[in-house]
Amino acid sequence: MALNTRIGPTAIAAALGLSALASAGSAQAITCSSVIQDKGLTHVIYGSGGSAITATLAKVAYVLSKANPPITVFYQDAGGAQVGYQTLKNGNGGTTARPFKYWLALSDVTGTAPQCTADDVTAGRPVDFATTGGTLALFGETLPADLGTFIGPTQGVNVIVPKDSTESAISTEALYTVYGFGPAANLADATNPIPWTKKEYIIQRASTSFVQQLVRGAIQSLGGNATNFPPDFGNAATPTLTHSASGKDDNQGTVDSLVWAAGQNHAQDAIGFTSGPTADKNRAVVHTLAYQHAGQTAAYWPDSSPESFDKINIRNGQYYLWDTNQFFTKITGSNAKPKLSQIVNEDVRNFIGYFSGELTLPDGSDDVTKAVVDTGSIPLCAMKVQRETDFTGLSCYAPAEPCGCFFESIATKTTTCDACTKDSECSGSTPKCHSYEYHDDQGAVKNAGFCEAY
Amino acid sequence: MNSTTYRLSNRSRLATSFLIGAAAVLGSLAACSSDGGNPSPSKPPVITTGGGGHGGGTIDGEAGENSEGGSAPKGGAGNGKAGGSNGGAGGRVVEDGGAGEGGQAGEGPLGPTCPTTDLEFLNQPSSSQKTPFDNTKRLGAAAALPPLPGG
Repeated sequence: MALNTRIGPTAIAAALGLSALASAGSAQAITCSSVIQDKGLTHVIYGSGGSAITATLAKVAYVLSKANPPITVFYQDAGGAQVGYQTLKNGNGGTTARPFKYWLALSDVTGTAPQCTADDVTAGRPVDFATTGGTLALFGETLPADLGTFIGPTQGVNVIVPKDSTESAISTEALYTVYGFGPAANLADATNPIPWTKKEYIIQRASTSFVQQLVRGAIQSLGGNATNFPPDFGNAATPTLTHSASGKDDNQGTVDSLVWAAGQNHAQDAIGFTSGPTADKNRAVVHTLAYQHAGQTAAYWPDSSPESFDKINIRNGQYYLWDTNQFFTKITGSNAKPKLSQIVNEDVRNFIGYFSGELTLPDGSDDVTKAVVDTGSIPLCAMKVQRETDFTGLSCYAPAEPCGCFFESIATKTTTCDACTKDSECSGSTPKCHSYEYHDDQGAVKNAGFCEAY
Repeated sequence: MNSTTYRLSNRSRLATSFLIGAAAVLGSLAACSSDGGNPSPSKPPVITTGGGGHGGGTIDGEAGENSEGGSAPKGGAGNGKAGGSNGGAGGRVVEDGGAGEGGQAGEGPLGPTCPTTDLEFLNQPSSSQKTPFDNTKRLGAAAALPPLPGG
């Protein structure tokens, strides 16, 4: 099928130019209203949430800004996922402290995104959707009757250390010790004690952060004295924003903090946790520790090796620290298992539908799925397991239209799957040919096909 | 057998209406569970189902075009493990009298082996690189999980 919306060199150049203008304007705290007017934007939606999804949302938003019709997303991610959700409920997005980011050019995705504020920078403005890395139960929040929940891609949470650290693994028990005790840890009788005992180099996020609450929940799963592990690890750890380059509490801030620690010659003492996409984006300066959950016989990385990007151990349930992104937005009717058709705002409906894979882009391309994979997240179609809750109830999952081969081909740039253009080219245990069409970052159309089991 | 693509075909509304109508009827007849495996926020335990239909692409009063949703070969496909499969949910008629949406996406067949507990998932056989973390050697007394300071 012919693609009717292309991202050509001219469009990219134009977008780069607009981005430069926007970036220049962001220093003057421009309003999103003026951005919309200056650029003639239509189908504009506002969102708020955590920064765990930002890298993925940014690329998806960029793709959607080039769709026909385009959707422009303004997204606020400062303060953690819980703050983002509360912003939806309270209608106070885009204040000076928490401006919106937007992505109209590829450089906005790969570099620093331009920002804008609500017209009223003190009171803010309503947002159309919120998103969190896991369920509202992580934050003790509840869902009003007029909001519905929709799931998005899956993401890992990575325990990370500076690149020069010689440590390679950690356990749940060690997380309890590090984040519960810090300098007060009693490592008596340890023949090879963990190095993470200096509070200033043990990095935590705000209690409103999804990754903070996921790590907390993992620790609580130990039971006993860990059952009431607090939401804030203040006795043992330093807040991310102390050394965050942006001065804000976000996933990148944890990486910034570890880079700072390494610069102080304390690479071995430093530890933190961040979203999988953030960790992947920063592999040049941090590395992920293999994680051994309580009862597990060995520690595993999210990927099949520290160097890989295949996320196989998240996809098959062997790696514990992951969750599925949630979107929240206004709906009509019951919010028990709501359908996309219940979403009030049509642009939000399409945005969430494209993001989750439930809807196909108008041009029929697989660009959103590719964007999700490109940025370290996992689309539902590449998952082999699901969970009932944020932490328990694993079960095997077989997506209606599996895309594991496509996922691997994009994420790892290689795949062991057989290539195909039609079913007759497939055989044995993988008789079904799945075809894909997408654009690379230069806008060129790419086609791929892989033999899957069904 | 035709290859599967994820393109929304530019079919005529008549053809779309026919296919979605067929999906509705077959879905209603075949469905043991009307859920069709639609991914839900609560992420329920997975049941083995045949592939159901994909939802329509748009919901603006015009019929969502049928993708693969709710067609007979998808909804009725069986699988060995459960000995049967659920069809996709039937199409829903929209208020303006247009064609209904396609059935919801179902789930595919599960593999022959599937762990039954969370711990079995965590300790399943793997070809991935791994490294044991020895709590006793690394934590000493702390491995016993003493009470938190001030706790």
